[in-house]
Amino acid sequence: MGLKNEVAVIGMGCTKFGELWDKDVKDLVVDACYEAFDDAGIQSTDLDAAWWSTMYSGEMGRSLAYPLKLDYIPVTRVENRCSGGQDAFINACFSVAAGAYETVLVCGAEKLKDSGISAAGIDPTTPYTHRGDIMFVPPGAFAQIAQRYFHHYGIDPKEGKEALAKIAVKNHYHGSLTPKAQFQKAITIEQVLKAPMIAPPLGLFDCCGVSDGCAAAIITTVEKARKMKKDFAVLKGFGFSIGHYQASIEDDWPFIYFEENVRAAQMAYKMAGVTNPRKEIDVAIVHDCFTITELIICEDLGFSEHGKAMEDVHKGTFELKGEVPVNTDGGLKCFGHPVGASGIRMLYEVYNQLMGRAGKRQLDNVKLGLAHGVGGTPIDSSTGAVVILGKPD
Amino acid sequence: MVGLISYGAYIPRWRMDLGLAGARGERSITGPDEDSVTMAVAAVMQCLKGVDRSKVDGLFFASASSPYTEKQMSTLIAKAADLREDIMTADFGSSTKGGTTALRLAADAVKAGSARQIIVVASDCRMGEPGSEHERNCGAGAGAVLVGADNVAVSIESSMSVANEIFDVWQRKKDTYLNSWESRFDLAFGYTKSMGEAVGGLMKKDGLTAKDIAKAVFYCPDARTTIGMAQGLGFDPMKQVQDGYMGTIGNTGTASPLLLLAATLDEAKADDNILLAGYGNGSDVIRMKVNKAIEAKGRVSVKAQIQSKLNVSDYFTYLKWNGLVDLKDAKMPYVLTYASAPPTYRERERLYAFHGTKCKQCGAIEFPPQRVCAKCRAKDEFESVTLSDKQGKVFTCMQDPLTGQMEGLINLDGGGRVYCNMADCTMKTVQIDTPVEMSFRKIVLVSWDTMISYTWKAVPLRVNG
Repeated sequence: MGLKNEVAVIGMGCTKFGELWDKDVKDLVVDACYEAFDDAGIQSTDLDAAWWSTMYSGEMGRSLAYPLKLDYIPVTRVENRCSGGQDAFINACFSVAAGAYETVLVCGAEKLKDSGISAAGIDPTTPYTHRGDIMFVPPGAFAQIAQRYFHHYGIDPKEGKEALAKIAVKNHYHGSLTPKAQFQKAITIEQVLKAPMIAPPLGLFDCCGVSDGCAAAIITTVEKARKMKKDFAVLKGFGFSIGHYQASIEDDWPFIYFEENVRAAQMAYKMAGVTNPRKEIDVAIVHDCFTITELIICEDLGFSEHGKAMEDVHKGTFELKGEVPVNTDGGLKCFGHPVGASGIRMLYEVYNQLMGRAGKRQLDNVKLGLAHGVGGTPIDSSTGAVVILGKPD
Repeated sequence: MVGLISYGAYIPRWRMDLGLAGARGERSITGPDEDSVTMAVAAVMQCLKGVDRSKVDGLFFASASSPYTEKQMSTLIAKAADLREDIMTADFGSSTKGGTTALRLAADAVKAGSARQIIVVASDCRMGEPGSEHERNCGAGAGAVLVGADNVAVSIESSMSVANEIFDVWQRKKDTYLNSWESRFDLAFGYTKSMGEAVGGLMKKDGLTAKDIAKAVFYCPDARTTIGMAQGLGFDPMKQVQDGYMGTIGNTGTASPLLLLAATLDEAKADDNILLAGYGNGSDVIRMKVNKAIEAKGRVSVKAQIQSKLNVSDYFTYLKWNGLVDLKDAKMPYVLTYASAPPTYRERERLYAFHGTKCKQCGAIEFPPQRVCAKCRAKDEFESVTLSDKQGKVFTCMQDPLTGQMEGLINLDGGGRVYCNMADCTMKTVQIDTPVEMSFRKIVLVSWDTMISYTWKAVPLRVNG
């Protein structure tokens, strides 16, 4: 069971992420998709179908078809919050593996900075029903899991904050090596610790940026990829899990990990034949919307045991030269988080590392890489999404 | 015998140091998410401590600051108190004597046998213009009594009313603030005249003198006038007249008589004769006799509520909380939700009565109400449980960096977890494991909503002593 070695990624594209005041979402779609077309060596008219991930920046499939003038092909719009990108990618892979389509575009885009607020886009909730009546913003929701994590493991808040600061410093260093990142400046631990507090223990540098961006991938069968290109990436496994508001309705839910991540990773590893992720995953691009999220994800994905990721942070396990390099492109921390685009942007870095195109941050001998997303908030439930790409056998 | 079975009061935690308004003392004000309705619910919840609410056949709400001109609020308060729906509800507006009038009528209805028990709740947060005497005098609060014929702790012995057509204090539909005439005229021909006629008239009718009364509870418009009026009727203001708390709470308007009555009953002894008098275009006076002290586990005394307080930091915050400044730079909310009548109606048991579900298969208590149990996946096998009177502990909490709004996960005593906003606290005053209780509050979804939305929030526990 599964789609290991069934689907190939033959081209990818990605815009610069940031406050792109002079570009519309349609501009971003054109820029990212044409980069992917060129990389794959195809025309838009070669496409059989497309999957389109956006939360706030378009409705229906036509908001992708319109800027690209797609040739009356099917376009499916996917919305699964912050992991919509991975979800769109996985569903596009189904269509190729099933033999329904041969050449498929997956595109994710988001234009957050037109909303007029300095947080993620405006949540278009339905009229006043449950959850609409609780005023919240993401930093508060994720700060609460940080508080619980510290409390549960008996971590001194000062020490905990310093460990989180190291994650921010690491990702900012990686961002400084990544030309398409929103933030390309290295920072120091002192800067992180002295930055304005947003929601304790999370300060300004513990939170990812808010940006506009778009990324795209062209997928096809492995058989066709071999005829088209010398070098391409192959889908090795994926997992997708979604919770049922367990954290806010089950009174014994411990609130120190994401069951969705654990389940998604289990599915993906099983499909890919990964038994020891810490040893076998060469690069992981994960959902560091906040530093605490990256810390917990490293446990959920099996890179560290539960409660032990801080030790690995101090050991440098997740740095470029560490055992499991995490967020080599700077992550959400440095790219910002244009919701529907992030999942494809993560795959873009995995793809570049596999292709040897990651520039100053290129790792040696990358065989297997993972892109991971969390959608929603830990305060009730989220998605967990894992996609593993590798080299062709 | 008809009388009071129980009582309760609510004083918001928030105070304004009148130094902010160029005067001395302080007064209670509504917090940013409170109004006359939320305070009324809080007083009713106090009144219902230890009471079987299934016998309550009616609820009367009296207020001169009800948030709507047309839309009954006693129905909403009754629903928030989780009362039955086959009851009589009525709002008494437009006069600060509405509470005592409602009490007289409730007693008459019970006496006539048309209801077994009726809750009378009076609540007010009237606004005085910035810089005015009304601003300095007006406080916020609520008082409630449960009127019935069985197990009566305080019997109603007699009553009397007078009407007085006068412009002393008034507010048109379009006015934000109270209007009044010169206070010397107002107090002489309004308050002092009507109270004198009603109180004096009742004592004459019943053949009583001031020395027969243990405590007189009078509507209190300011710090001095009540004392003069009481002296004129032969009372010793220091010993016989209930303190109006003008220096700490202020004039709570329609709530004043019932709130001050609660303070009196907190310390009353058997056989005490009590006079209760309200004022507003006339006066009602009710004579009561204490049969036994009304003890209720968990009811927080008026004195304890006066002591349990938070001061608003500055005058701008006070104006902002009351919508008296235009915040033109206000940002879009992160969650764009607006009030909608159908879901508000459909979910009224969750929203107002604060019902959760208890799984008949595994016993799990879940909020909001579920169709399929999160624990054992049993379908449609639930009973409703009322969670509004539960206490709990903070499991985790956080302050919204943009608005300052607190939110958290609350683990309720006896089971169940609620994700909700929190009020009257900051990250400095609550943390993991802080004990909390639930409080009915307003919530602003979008500024252009014309329906006011309400929800239950967690607040730090308020306790006696």
